[in-house]
Amino acid sequence: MPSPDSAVRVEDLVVRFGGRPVLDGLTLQARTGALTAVLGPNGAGKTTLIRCCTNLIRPSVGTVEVLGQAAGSRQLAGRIGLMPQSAGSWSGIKAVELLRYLAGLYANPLPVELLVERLGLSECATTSYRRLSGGQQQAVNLAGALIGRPELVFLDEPTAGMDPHARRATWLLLRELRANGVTMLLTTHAMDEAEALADQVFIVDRGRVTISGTVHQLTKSGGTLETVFLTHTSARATS
Amino acid sequence: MTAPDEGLDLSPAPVPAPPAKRIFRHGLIETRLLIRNGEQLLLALVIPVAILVASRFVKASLGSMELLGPSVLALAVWSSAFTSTAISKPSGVSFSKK
Repeated sequence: MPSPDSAVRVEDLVVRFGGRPVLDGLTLQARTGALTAVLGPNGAGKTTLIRCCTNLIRPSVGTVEVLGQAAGSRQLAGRIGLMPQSAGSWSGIKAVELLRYLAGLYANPLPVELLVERLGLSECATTSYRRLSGGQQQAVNLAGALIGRPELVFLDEPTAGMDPHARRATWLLLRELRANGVTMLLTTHAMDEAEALADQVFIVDRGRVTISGTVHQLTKSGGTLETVFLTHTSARATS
Repeated sequence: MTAPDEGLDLSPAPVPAPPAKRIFRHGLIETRLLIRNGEQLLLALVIPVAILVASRFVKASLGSMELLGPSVLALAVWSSAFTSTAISKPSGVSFSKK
């Protein structure tokens, strides 16, 4: 039964690539105003799930409802932010130039200069995007996802490639976003990240949710989140 | 990254800019990037203009301006749409020719 306060509702989602199921009856709900973490081995279907929610992939079977609308609905335009695992950009565009362009697509964007300063990008603001380090590119991608002040943000491994300082600062920013009422759904391989941030955790393996709950519920039997992850996922998920 | 900034209001306020403004912003950034890239500028502007200028001196072989004008415009559009796009390919896409 769908909950009325679900920002994302996914039911029996099936996606096949070349006949092989990548998502195989995946069902989950992400609560409005909460941070939901989706964990799973490589190839478990986490990124495909985000692509379905943002209408980049159309599922073979199943329902995807985002902010009360079908994924891809025109009513969702501008209400969702997406930070993909890797993002391309124009060759030669500078970091701050890209963010100013993205800000120009919205009526009430976050102030670019403040966001750049907050994400520690001031020193490389005029560096070409492609010449930024992996962690700096991630920070620009995060800024790009947030600049339109979305209600719901999908974050695909947001801190991959970041140093521990940047990771902690990103966590702080995500907590502030949640405190301001932004709903977030993030994927990660970092168990400490899920433990530190997530209100709800879904562990996915071979395209299905194998277990879900709060970190406390999942670990109350004494194990760590990593132990729960290892118990409920297979060693080699095919991608 | 720095500490929380009082000036950064993170509350949701997702409103797209009016379509005309979005189109203008997109056109502006594309133009800026094109002007900055010598290869693109050559294909989209310099070569078409050079053909038009050259046509004044070699009218007989290049045909009249009535025919040449639209042809050169078409050349510029094709250059911008195909070759120029390939030159300005997004970073992060498969390989870098440089």
